[in-house]
Amino acid sequence: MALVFDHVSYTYAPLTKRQIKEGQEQLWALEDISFEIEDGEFLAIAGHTGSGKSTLVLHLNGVMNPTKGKVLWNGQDLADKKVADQARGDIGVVFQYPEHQLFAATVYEDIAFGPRNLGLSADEVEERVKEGLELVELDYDVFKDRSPFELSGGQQRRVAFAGVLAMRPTTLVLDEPVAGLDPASRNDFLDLINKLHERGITIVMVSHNMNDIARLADRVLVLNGGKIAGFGTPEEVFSHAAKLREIGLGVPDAQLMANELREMGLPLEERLYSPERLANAVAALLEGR
Amino acid sequence: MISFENVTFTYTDEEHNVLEDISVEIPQGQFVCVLGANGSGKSTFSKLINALLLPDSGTVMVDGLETSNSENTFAIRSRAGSVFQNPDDQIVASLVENDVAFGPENLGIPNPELRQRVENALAQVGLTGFEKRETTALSGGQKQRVAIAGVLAMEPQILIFDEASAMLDVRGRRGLMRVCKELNAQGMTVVMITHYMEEAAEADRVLVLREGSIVLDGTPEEVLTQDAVLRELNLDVPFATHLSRLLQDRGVDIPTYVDQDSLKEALWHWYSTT
Repeated sequence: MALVFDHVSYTYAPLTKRQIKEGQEQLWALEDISFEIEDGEFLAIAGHTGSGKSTLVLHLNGVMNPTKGKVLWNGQDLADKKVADQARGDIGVVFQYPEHQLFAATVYEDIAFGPRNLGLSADEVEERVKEGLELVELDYDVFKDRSPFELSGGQQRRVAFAGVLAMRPTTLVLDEPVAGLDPASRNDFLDLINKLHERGITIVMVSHNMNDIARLADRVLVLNGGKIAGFGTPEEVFSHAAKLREIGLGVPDAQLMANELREMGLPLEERLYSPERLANAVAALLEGR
Repeated sequence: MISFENVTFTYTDEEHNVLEDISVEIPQGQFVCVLGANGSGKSTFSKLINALLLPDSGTVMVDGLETSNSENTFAIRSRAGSVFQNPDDQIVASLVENDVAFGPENLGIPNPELRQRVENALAQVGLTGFEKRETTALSGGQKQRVAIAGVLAMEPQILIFDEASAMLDVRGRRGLMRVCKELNAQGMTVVMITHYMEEAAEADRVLVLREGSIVLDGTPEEVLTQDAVLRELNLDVPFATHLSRLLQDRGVDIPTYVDQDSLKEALWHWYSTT
């Protein structure tokens, strides 16, 4: 259990004594969040804009500390600066549009920045850069000396990923990793993330694409108004379609259609969130008549 | 009417043509979606319509006005307005009403009419009552609608959306699509550059670009059911098309649909009559 949220609440604007005396209610960006991230799992975090997703992500490696409660990394409190420093290599965070954070003159220098700050030797740094590029499937000899700014958007994002992977994280936190990519690069990227997961890296992915979540995640945490509105396997979470719609989230296309067909009177089972499963169920239904 | 005749375009630092000999006509009032992978030239296509870019050869005409003639630029831009991907790049004022008034005010529209235009434009995008709101305090979808209102206040005939929904969530996208459909129903031409197949399924016509050429042109039913071609072009396939195919593979005898409601009705019909 590398990461544990224990009754975490966070506010961007704590009330002053006077406001409390006047009886104002505290607004929480996160309110009483408790859950555990299991080693090696693929956890998706879903929620409408403003639901607290990004605030939660910033708690995952100690960039933000809870106003109340604790985030524990291997049993240690991430609010302790020393612990947070240690955790930062272990928990890699890739923010939205990470290519905006590329800065160095060459791909090599950009990826080497993190490992170098760990105080590694030149040989070790080179090793890490090679490893990072290999993991994102970019050829080391072709890309190492190129300027990151001459690359395509998809390649830039891969380089930004490589920089995080070069720190050898055991947990990778991805905030909307495929936002703004075209369908082809989006699929390539999701495959890449899935491969990293299969290598044993724990993945925490913020997304509002329910089709992607249905395809990849082991579990889904749904946030609404800073609180947990649902937590479980995609099957469990997506069976509550009406509740998800209420909080501005969709369900996967297949699940939506299955629900609507059921409402029209087709006796379909409740958990049909992939197109293949829905097609099987409908075909079986029609064959049986 | 928008017409492209043998249009070729290259950015100065590119070796190959971004658009290659494009000829197409879009009649007034049509709702056209333009699809294509990154680098297919679809964004360039949209920028050629209102003279943000000019063709290297061939002609682009908007309501009989040629874009390459700089005397026409002003008239063309007041006829054809664009909304882009990032709403934050398009908002210029701190109050909603000032932002929407920015364009027509620069045209020198005097006050009773100016006020009326702002009011109408905000009503058209469903933001009546937002006049005094601060633009920075709006959601992405609301900002995008303010950007559209700013274009509408110019009273254009043609609206161009260049991946305008790409940064919005599901709710924002649906709201934007609803606004587009309503404006189109009032007679406005809509040219929508998008990656979302669900948006394309609702258009009158779908154009698909590959490497600067139009490779498919037809109704959503004609274009979006060609799933093999779409996959080859690195595009998504609409969910209804994908599911139709899966059902056909499993021996269900139904046509290939592009929109979910039609597929749903067909399945219901099939189930209740067999």
